[in-house]
Amino acid sequence: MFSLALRNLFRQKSRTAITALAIASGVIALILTGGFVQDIFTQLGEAFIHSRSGHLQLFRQGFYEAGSRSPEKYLIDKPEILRQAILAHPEVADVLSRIQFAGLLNNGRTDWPIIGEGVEPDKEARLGSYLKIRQGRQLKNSDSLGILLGEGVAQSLKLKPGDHVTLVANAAEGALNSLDFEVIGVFQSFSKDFDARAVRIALPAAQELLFTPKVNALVVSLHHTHDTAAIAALLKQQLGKSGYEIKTWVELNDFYEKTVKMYQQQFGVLQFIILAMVLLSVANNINMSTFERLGEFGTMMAVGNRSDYVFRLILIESSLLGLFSAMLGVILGIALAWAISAIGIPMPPPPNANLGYTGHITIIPSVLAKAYVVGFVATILGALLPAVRVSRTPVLEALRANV
Amino acid sequence: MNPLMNTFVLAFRNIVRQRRRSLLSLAAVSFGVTALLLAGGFIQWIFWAMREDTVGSRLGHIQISRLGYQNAGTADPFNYLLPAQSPELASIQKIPGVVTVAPRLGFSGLVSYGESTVSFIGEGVDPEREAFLNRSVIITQGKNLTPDDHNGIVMGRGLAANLGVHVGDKVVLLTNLPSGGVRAVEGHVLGLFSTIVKAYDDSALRVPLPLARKLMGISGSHIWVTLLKHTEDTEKIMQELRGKLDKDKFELVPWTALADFYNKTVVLFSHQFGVVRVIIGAIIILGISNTMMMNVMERTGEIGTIMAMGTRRRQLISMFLSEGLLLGIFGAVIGLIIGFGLATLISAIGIPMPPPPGMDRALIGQIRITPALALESMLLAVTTTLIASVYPAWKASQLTIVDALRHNR
Repeated sequence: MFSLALRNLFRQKSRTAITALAIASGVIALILTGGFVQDIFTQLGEAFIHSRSGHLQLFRQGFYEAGSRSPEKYLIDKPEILRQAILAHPEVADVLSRIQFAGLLNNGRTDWPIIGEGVEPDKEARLGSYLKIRQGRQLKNSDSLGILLGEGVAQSLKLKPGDHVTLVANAAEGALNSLDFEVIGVFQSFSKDFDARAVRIALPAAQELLFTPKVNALVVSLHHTHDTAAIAALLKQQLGKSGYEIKTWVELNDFYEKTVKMYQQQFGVLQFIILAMVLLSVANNINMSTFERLGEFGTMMAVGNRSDYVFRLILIESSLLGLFSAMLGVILGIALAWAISAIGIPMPPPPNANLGYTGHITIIPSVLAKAYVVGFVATILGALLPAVRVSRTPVLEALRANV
Repeated sequence: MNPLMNTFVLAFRNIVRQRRRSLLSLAAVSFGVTALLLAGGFIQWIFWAMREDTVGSRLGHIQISRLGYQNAGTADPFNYLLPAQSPELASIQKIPGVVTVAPRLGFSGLVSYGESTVSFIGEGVDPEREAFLNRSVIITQGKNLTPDDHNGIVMGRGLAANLGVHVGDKVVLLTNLPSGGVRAVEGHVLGLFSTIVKAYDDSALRVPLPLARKLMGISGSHIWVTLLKHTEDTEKIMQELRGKLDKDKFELVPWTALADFYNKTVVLFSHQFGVVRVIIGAIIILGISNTMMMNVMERTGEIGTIMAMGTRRRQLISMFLSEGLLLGIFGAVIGLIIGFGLATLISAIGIPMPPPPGMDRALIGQIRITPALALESMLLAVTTTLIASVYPAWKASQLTIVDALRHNR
């Protein structure tokens, strides 16, 4: 019966080809959407990581929750030793130091309260940044006394690149210290409120201003995002007891999880529509191609085959067709996913980043398996009804379809 | 009978005669249209919901301020004050389509609690009117400002943590006056809020307008946030306001200019959904053409018979073309009806959606079908049906007549 079914499939070349095309294209559609949506989640995560947070951050206990306005109370004592210890893990790509401070910026006429950050400019540039430079340029390591201003700060103090400003801050032990800076650039971030108060300077200048060799945060970037949880656990075990806390990029960007949840729901609805479409179109095709052969099945029954034999024959044919076509769909789907990923789908920057990304189609085993099963099951389900109808048609009536 | 009419009558009879094949083809076309409508309508809804959420988050539709406030106001709050009561304000509120005008007053200073003192960015708001505009401010503890509590303060979660303040504690707000003096007022913490921007939560607080005015020793406000009944009216009412307000004194900013986050998200979403829509479109095109091709292919024998009787190839193709057109149009209309029906049904039940990031309300998803979307879906379906039915007919007509006839067996 199997070989008969197989021969039937090869005999009806164009019908088989068209039905196979319907099944395969359904499977391909499922693979492509599934892979594309998964890629969106990955890319969104990378956008967050590379716009500011890095993969992991290490602070003194309490700094993240309550320390942003009094960063001097939460300094990391021996950052260099800690840095080397973290760098010793082979998964770690780099460790960046950041220090925060609050102070007043003076343009020679008025003061403006600011929240500042001292960073290692070249390393930050490698990590990526959410800051969009509106005027001037990014900070570099060589700008030892350069300053980047938030757009609001620049407007309030009427400053432009090349101007000189004085930064006054509370140094360690409550003393006041001031340093002169040259405005290098003006940036815009995700929030107007933030830009109205934010400035950035190089780490050595900030440490000089604050009379301290210490830092507030160590930002860890990894070679591979999927190592995050393992390294976080390792570091927590190593350092958790000595009063440090470690936060992963997911914890640092609580926006991410919510966005993913929202996306999942939104794309879920669309994927559901695609799924329904695939089921219907496969069923439609099988239905048509089975009924076109009504006369043939009539002949079979007329020469003495029982109707349940015909029923089984139709189901076996469909199962074979489903197995092969779904496999074909998986293979074509993978090939297409590769091709599309190689070309890339250009995407605009996510809201919190200023770099666009290139969309890919991730090939995920579970998506492949699901698409395959859907294609196969749809074929059998689609064949069930016409098989019942055809095998129950009276022989004479079925034969008449030949004419 | 005129030949064109004749062709259509023949085509129609053919469709009715081939009952099963026609039904299956109609099903394919109408599934396609329905799927396009539902997917497109859902995406429309997402954009619509995002827009309304943005407007209701804090921005309002139109922000009215003194000329120059948007650029230089934070540095010099005392020079850009709008009056508390004025004929302009009254006339704005009377414009039909305006739901409410909420005054806001921006200020900054120091807040102190016990031993600790930190700087803040503050906003004085009218709790009653602001009720329409606080979707993006999630109260994590305590409650929001109320109209009858004049000394209540809601504080960003991070700012409260920095100060060590809890709900119910009394704090003192201090600000510099233009005269050089310092003024202080006392208030109590009603609740803590969080937004999507941690840096903002670390430094922001909101107070009722009277308390902010008392602190600054003034009676006006900085911004009139105007909320409209329909977002679509923004441009129209902007025009009307431009006519009403003195250009040299007032500055009007529509929400689109302020919603940078929204604008970027829309661009990104359109691309992402665009890809998924292309996939949906492709599978629908394939689905329809598959069924149509099979439909016509199965009739190769019939085509042979028609040609054997002396029908010209052109006539034959125009007959299949009209069949395809009729099937396409019928199918699309059925699809439209089913699509609209399903959309209404689904919208009535609602698709549960999680709250968008930074918003406190979960949304109920709906399907919004626009006329443009309906037209687009119909066009796609009809064109596909036409092409898919003509190709196999043309191919069959290329066959030698005997070969086509033999197809019957």
